[in-house]
Amino acid sequence: MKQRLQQNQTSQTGQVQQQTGAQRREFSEAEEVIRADREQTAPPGSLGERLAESIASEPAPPAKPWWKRLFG
Amino acid sequence: MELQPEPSAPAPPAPAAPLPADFAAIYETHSQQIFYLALRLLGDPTQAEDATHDVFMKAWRNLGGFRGEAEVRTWLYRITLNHCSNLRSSWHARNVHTQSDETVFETAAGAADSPFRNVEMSELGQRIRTALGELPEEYRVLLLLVADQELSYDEISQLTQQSTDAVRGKLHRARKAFGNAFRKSA
Repeated sequence: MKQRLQQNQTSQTGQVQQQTGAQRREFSEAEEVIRADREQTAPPGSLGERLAESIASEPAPPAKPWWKRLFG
Repeated sequence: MELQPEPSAPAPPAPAAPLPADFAAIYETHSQQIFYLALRLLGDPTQAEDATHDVFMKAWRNLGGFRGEAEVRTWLYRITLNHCSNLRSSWHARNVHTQSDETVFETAAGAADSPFRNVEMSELGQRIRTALGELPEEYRVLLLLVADQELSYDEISQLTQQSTDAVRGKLHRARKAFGNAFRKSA
């Protein structure tokens, strides 16, 4: 039983190491590193909802003044 | 006999109001870049979330003054840079020791080998945060902006209020400084 547990642990560790190994990358420049980081960094999902609530409680954005509507 | 709803049954939660369609499209397209810029400038996810919210609220309030689709990203970046700069100027002066001696980065050893080899992706965010934290703010901003391939050098020079030649020169030093700081962060 104990042996089986150890085997399981070993195989799990092996998987983690494999996954970790597969997640290594090489970059050529600073910007590329930053872009890769940005791609894996998403804003929190609740942020859009929070923003929608804030906007719903705001008065409508001011319309263009009359002279802008007339003359662009 | 009519069935009455149970008085104790809780009312279903009101659905959240969706974003107005045009603005939702702007949010969908640009929120990741804006959140990331705020995150790496402020260094804290909660502050970055609040800043992103505030940036889009400012954009919403000033939508009438916006001049065209091609400038949305630049416009949002400008709001973000100003907002984060205001937040940092009060907090930064009190809490952070800035490393002002650029020669630390210029003369750091190990220039022969690329610092960006064999990078463990799960550590990437932490290492970038550490490395950017070592840089002067101006370098940090320039690197974050130039990482956006949709921004031209002209737009970056406008956003940072300097000539394109100055941007190019500083970017050269910023890349070198970042590489050295990134290597040290391993």
